[in-house]
Amino acid sequence: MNSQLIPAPDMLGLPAHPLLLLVLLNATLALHWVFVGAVFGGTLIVLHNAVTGRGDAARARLNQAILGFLPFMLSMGVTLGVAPLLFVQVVYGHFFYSANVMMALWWLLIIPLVIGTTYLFYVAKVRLAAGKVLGPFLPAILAGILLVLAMILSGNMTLFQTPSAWESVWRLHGAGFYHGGGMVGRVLFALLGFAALGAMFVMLLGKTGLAYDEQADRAAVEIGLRAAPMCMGLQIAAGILLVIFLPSEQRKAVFDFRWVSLFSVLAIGCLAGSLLLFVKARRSPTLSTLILPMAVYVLGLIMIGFARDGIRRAALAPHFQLGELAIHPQWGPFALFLAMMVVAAGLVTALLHLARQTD
Amino acid sequence: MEYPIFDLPFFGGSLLIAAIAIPHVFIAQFSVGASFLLALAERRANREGDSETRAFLKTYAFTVLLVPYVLGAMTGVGIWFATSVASPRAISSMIHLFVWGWAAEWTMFIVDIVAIYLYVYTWDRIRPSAHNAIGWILAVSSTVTLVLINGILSFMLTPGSWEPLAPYGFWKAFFNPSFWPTTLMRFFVSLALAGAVALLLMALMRTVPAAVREKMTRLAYRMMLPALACLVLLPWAFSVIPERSQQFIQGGAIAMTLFFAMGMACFSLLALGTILAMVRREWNPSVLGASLLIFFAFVGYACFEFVREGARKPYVIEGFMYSTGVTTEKGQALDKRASLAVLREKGVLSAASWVLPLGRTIAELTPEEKGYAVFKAACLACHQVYAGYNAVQPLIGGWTRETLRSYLDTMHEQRPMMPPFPGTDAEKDALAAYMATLTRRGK
Repeated sequence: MNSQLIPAPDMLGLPAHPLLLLVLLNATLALHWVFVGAVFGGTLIVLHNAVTGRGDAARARLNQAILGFLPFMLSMGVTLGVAPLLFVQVVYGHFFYSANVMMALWWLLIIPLVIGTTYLFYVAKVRLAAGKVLGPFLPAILAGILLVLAMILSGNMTLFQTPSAWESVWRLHGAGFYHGGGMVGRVLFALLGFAALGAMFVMLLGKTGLAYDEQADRAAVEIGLRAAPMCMGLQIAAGILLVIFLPSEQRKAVFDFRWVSLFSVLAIGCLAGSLLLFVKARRSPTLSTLILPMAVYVLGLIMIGFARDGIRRAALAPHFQLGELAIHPQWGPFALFLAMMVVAAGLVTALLHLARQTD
Repeated sequence: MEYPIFDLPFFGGSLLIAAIAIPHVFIAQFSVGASFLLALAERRANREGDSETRAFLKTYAFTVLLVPYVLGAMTGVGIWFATSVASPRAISSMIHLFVWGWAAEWTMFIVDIVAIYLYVYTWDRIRPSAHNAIGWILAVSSTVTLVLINGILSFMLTPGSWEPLAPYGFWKAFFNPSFWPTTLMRFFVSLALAGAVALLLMALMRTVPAAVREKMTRLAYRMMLPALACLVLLPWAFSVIPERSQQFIQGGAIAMTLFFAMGMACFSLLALGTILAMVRREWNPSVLGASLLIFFAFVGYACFEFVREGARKPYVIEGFMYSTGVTTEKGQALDKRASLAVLREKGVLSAASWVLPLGRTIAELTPEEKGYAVFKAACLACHQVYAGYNAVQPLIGGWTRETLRSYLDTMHEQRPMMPPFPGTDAEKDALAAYMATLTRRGK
């Protein structure tokens, strides 16, 4: 490709060492995934209940409980997504913005889709709260929109690490959609993980007694325990296939026995470990036996983030090396960020404490 | 420049950003004020054991705080999406300069989201004092987000003593000359917006008891009064913006002057309406009256946002980057590809490969194609071609090729809103030739 098509990195350089920025990128990205995963997986379970649980009062109440949380989970997912969006722009901005412009119409479509999804969740929630039956139509629409969102985001992220495809996508001047470079596999891998996260979220609702009554709580744990390991198993299989079908230079990075290999192995290890722990927890699913596999899974998400980033750097290697970027540290503002993070953590803890103060 | 250019027909990138940003700013600032209104009113209702006022506040919290807040949060992310498409070089520099400021703001967003949902969904379920404490946390955290984002936004017009990569650059940029007056103005306006919306809600909810109506109306008026301080803050802000921008507002750019006057008129009517209603002890607002106040607030606010954006021209970051994405002398030492000095020497097309037809080189272009490519690289960020936002064809009707060519040499002197032409003489020739074809097509 014409190397002139790749913009220069931003002239102001990095405000911190790239390693710090990548740690923050992947840690916040994992948090973002947890919440959007809960939304996607939760919606699938609502759809499943609406299709297979007609006339089952416990499942209807469980749906009500899940939908009660989904608008909040989506708001949190979107908000938590702001931080990785920030850090990805700092490190890879010149590639990222190019992909945004090339897929501009799709990229901008995300905004009305997310707004629409939020309000559709409210519609579904209000319907159930009013005692009406929630058929499969609305949850199916919601799941469909979330699928489209995942495809746009994955398409964009794949495009930005594939400069060789830029010219062909740009032929449509902003209306192009990229689905090459392993994008379909990435979407499948992500969605299976999101489905697993949704199952964990529903399990948590049941185990913390937030699903209205005992029957609904039991249904929540049952469905969650059935779905989570199954989705994880499929996700591991999809992950292996994804690596096999990656473009060759990226696949080599996974098997280079360096950092990417390590993170890939750790990621698969965490996913497999979490799966086994869930299978074991089926015998006596208490809150403590369920929290451990969930924590292991979240750790796996962070590892996936790092492995994914390594693969991205391998893909970009002919055009860009992190070491080329100038670093101009801003320690004072970084301290401000850390201080605000501590204050925010304290405030969220205080808020949760206040919310438990009943008469 | 450097990036592919997304040409949104008719609207252009600027209007796309404005279409998302203005409703976002309005909603976001309303939310700040509304959280204060709720926290204040609830504290008083708790003290007086006033369950009727609490019932009204519960409705207010759900219908006019939570629902729009979610829209505000989503459109906030939307602004980033839109700017990354419409103005990638500018947003890139803003992100690289302010990433920790934005990250700090993000931490408060999380507090906001948790607080707002807890506030709405724990009404009457937890101790009233604990509930009110949640309200105060929301009010404080949302104010902090307002302060942080305003430091970043106000920098774009008044960077003050900031120099790229100079020591303490972040702090100099953040606490720029217009930081304090604009932060205070935004805060007071946010209180006024919340007051106006409370009036409308009361006007719509005819079943609200008279006592509650009076209490809330009084509070709403009191929330609106501090906006009068803007009459002092506005001249302060005006005094620190660049002289060029002051001239735009004082008649140098007719649209800017008109929008500024309209903004002032709207806010004056808002203030006048509030004072009159207080003097006449109107505790029973009408739907029309309350709607008018909100209308004045929205239009006034949109006008000032338009002026704020427009007053920056020809820069997107004052003195550092033109709205075309070309950097000025200030960034010359850092920007090896798209600073004005480099482009004047190597040509604008040297840094704008995406504007060439795919697979073709500059040498292979016809003169008209070359002119159009220069137009896309140097003009399309602010001008549509035939119709729509700042369309160029109606602006140059009747101009000859020679007039156009000579105008390109001095356009930044003749029109202070225009940046200097960022290219070589040959590119000026090509652009003039292309634009001359537009004037012929227009006849």
